[in-house]
Amino acid sequence: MIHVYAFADGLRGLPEIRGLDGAPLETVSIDDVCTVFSRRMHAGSAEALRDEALEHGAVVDALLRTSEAVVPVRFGEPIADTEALRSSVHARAKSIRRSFDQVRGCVEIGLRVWGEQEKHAHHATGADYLRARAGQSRAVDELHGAIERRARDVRLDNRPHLGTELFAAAYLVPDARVAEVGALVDRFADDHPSLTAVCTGPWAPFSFGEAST
Amino acid sequence: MTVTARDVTLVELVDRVLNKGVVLTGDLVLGVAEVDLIYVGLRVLLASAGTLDRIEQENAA
Repeated sequence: MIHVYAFADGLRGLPEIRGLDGAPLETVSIDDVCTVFSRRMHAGSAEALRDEALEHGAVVDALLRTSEAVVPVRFGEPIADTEALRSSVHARAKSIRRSFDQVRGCVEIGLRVWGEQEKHAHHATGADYLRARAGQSRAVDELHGAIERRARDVRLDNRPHLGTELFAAAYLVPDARVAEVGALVDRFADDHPSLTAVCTGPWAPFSFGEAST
Repeated sequence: MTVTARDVTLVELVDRVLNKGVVLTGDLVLGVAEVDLIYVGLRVLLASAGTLDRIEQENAA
């Protein structure tokens, strides 16, 4: 069985990290697309899934540091053999090559913002509360706009919010502007102590490229 | 990088690895329900007051 981690363009060398089950990473070029994979005897157990997903992520992250562009593959698809791998990649090669161009020189930055926790809220009236919420939304919109202007692309997370979640998004940010984005979020956090804003990354561009949903 | 917290990073990583990225054959091992269970479970943990308190404390440090 074959487990695929990502496609890499301009790979300078495989990172030292091992793959699932401690297997060595391998590469194969299919239609000029460098495919990074490892072999395993059988699929992992249900209990091991979360750990394996994290290991998969660690490999993709390591590839980001040794390649010019990385297009991550989703976790959870065992490929029967190299023949099946060639067939799958061949069908997507053009799209993957276009994705390399879209993400080259960029990393993905995640942003999540939570609203005021109930125990911290001190509003005299319901109207005060609504005004405060409207103000929070405006502030988050402004932050989003400022980051978006510095990004090559953005994906809003439109899944239903849980609890006090206010906003979540992923930004495709050129390497040279990552520090700027971090500073924007820092300033936002200082200016809005009742909100909790967290920036994560840099990630490989999981959310971007042609084949991403 | 700027303001980070280990719990948020874990949720973000799991979300990306399970929900994003190229799908090769469509024969995903994890069904939608299972992915939701893992991912939503982590987000619920994250949205709890205790976790947000910890994030605030880490930011202040």
